Formats: sequence, structure tokens, C-alpha cells
Amino acid sequence: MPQVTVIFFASLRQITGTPRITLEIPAGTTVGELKQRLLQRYPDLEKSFQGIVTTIGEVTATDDEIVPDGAEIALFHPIAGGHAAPEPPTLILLTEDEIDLTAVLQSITQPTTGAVVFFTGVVRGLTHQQTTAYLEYEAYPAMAEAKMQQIAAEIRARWPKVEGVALVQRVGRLTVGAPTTLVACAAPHRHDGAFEAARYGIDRLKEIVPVWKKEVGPDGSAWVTGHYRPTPADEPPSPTR
Amino acid sequence: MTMAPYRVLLFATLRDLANTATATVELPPAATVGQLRAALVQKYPALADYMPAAIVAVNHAFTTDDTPLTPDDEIAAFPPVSGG
Repeated sequence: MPQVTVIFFASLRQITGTPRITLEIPAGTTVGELKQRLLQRYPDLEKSFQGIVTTIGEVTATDDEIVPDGAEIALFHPIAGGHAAPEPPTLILLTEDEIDLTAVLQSITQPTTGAVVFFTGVVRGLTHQQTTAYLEYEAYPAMAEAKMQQIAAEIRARWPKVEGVALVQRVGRLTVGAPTTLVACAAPHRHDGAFEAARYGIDRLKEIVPVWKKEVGPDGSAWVTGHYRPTPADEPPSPTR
Repeated sequence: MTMAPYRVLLFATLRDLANTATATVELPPAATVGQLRAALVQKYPALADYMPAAIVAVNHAFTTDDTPLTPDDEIAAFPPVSGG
């Protein structure tokens, strides 16, 4: 039987829990029939199938087209009113859980992505011979998430070729060596601004995202003091109506 | 002049020093962030050294001392951020 690969993007991937599957299908199966098979396997996809775009080998395919053996079929939602390109994914996450670097990479990778730059901060155990046992992170969650969204928008405005953007901040007790934060920027090519965008993202996060850390060592604990004092100029321009 | 209660969320050093996560202060009508800072220090003297550098956010937006307040606003006061 012909074998095909199905690739899921963005919200579809969250439903299926996997970025890609390989399927055996009867010869002569159409795109429409393949979608029915996917629905049987992942019933939760049904409400997401409205307005979905299907491509075979990066060419848009209609439901009555026959799926050739060995085909790569991609499923995604187009940008509203735009052409058949998947909307660039944005991952904003404030979490007590361990940061899963591979999952973040998958969630911001699109068919057009060819370069992803990761910055991650980790808990330093030794600073000028001073020992840190662990850091205790605290956040103002609603505002932190709003400001992380704002940074993603600022990145896209400055580096229009940057596609997927992820900003993750971990909170709670974090021990030496643990990743505490992650900024990842995806783009078609490595010279499309992803390096600069990731650096901007972490610098900005340290300026305006309301998160604080307390350093705990052998001699007690102390809040780490920030230096930046944001003003209304750090707010996004108000939307024009 | 009727005073109205304003709730202020405190974080990190400010919460530890005030010994509460939610401060309440009374402010006159048409109060500003500047007046809120003064009222916080008056009610929680332990904040005195930290309030000049503290950031006051209103409805998740950064402010100046002239920013007006209403009792329905979500107001927060915190030290300069140190995440990442």
C-alpha cells in the first residue's frame, strides 16, 4: 500500500500531540478521504478542519486530488485573508515545569523555517567564588504574560522575516544548572535576523517582564535587584481606530 | 472629600517588607500614582527606602507619578524586575 507522511502545524499539532505521522493508505485515496482517516484517528481535529489548507510537496491540494505514494502532506491554517502560508506561531509560557527545549523547537518550526536561534539562561552555581544553592523565582503572572506577548510583537515589528517566536520563563525553586528562561526565534535563513531577535528578546524580558529572583546560598537569601525603570514609553503604541 | 480604598498588589521585596501581598490605602478622588506612593509609605513605613525606585503598574501598564487612578484599576507595586 502507498505510504504517506502527514505533517501537522501549530494548533493541529497540539491536538494530535505529534508533528508528523506516517500512514499506509489504499492506492487511489484522495486528499478528502485521507482527511476522513485522520478524523477517525484524531476526532478532536474536526473543529479545526474548517478552513484548513492542505499541501502536497508544498503545493496546495484540493480534496479530490489523489495522494501519490511517498507524498508529504502538510495541514495548517492560512493567515486570515492572506495566502496559503501558516501563521507564524508564538509560544508564551510562564511555568513551574521543566522547559522542554525540543517541544519548543517543534512548536515554532514551520515549513518555511530554516534557522532557529535559542537563548537559554541557566542557574549559575558559582559567581566570583560565591556559591549559589538555588534561585527562587516569582512572577506577577497576568502582567508577565502580557509583556511577553508584547515582546513577541516588538520582535516581529523589528525583524519582519522572523517567523516563530517563543518566550518561556520558569518560576519556582530552580537549582544550579536548570534552564530558567528561553527565547527562541525562527526564520527562513540564519541571516534573517533570528540572532539579533533572540538577543533583543532576552534583553527586553529582563527589562519589562515582572519576574523576580531570590538567591539562596550557604549564608542566607537575598532578592536580586534589577536596574531598569520602565515608563509609559515602554508600552506598545495604542491601537489606531 | 470622600476617600476611597485602593488595593495594591505587592511583589518580591515590597511584599516581604510590607508583610502582605495586598496592601490597601485610602486615597482622595482623582488620585495619582504619586499620591499612591506617598500613601503606601505612610501606611507601611518599611517601604520608605524602596518606594522611590519601585515600579507602579496600572492594569498591567507602566506609569508615571502623574498617571490617574480609579479604585477599579488593577494596581501593582514592585521592585525593578530581575527575571530571565
